[in-house]
Amino acid sequence: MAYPVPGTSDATDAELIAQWQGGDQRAATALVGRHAQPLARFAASLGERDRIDELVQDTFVRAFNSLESFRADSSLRTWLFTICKRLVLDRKRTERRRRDGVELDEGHAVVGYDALDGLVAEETAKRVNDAVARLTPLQREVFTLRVTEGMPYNEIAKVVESTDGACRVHYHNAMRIIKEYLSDD
Amino acid sequence: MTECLNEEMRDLLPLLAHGSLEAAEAERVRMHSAGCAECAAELAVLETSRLVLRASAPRVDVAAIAAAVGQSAAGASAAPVLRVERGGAKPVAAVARRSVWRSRQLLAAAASLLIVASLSLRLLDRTPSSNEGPSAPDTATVIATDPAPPAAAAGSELSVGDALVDLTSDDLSALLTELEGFDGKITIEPAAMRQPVVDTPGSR
Repeated sequence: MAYPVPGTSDATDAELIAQWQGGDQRAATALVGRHAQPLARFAASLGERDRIDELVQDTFVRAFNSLESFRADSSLRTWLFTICKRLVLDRKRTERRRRDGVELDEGHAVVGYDALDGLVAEETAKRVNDAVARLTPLQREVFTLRVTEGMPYNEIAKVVESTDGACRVHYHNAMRIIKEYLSDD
Repeated sequence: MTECLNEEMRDLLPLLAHGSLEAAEAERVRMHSAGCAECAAELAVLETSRLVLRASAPRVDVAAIAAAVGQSAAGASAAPVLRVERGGAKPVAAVARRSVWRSRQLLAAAASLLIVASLSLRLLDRTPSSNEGPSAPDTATVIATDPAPPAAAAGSELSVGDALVDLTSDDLSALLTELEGFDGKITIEPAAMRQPVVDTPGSR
């Protein structure tokens, strides 16, 4: 969902960061509006289902508090996704400790959400979600970043802490599993 | 299920579905897909998957998050978190205590200078008039040279009130004894010490 902020729609992320560091709070709002929903999708692909708003908010707060450590050799979105992933892993570790070592089921990532906006039939959506759920967590992560966010492999590699080539392999394996599942019926 | 052998095209299919390819490159991939059944089928799967994943993802309240993040950022700039680092800057509380101590040092130093000035004036008062040369000024001037730093001492002429001049020698001795243990260093000259010179007994 776009969240337009007057005078900031055409600015690049780097320009908005500079504006925010200069004291313009609207720039921070514009950055949140630009990246919040993709972060929510990414969090969902990682298996997060609860308190997504809180997770996205924490991601931005942590990012804005450590902007000096942001390196311009990657995109802001990639950096945000990296922070978000660390927060998700922290959450999972905390929950795992709370459950006394009971492993989380990471096999069902993108399920349980409604509002398909009438774009896709419910049955088709269920089948696609089931197909994606068959992927390994890493395959699902790479597939989501590639397909829903349009990320290049080198940026995906930074988020998942792997190599470009490995990410490419994960993507094509994921694609093959999904196609096979969907063509079974 | 068969797959197209053109890996470059297959790699670009998800970016075509996402809409992030440049126009010329997008057209090139579309042209390929139009003549390749495998890539056309894969593109259809990708477009459907993208729609489903985007629609299935949770919606976040962007406005609320932006407001919360903005508040957090504003709060951080208005009231920075106190961080004590080993070997780094001292915490605010320590700086405040030091400030109080410095004020006391300044007061003590100012009192010390006044006492010295009073004693000097006493001595002047008891000195025979023959010590006053023809070029003596109309007013008695005491230049503060120590312990004030040079910049602060330059031109700092003391003003001595009647009450202080009227102190007895015993009173002054007692005050000097109390100040003997003081080893503070003046870094700022008190404003009161910048007053003009006043007349002293016998100077006219």
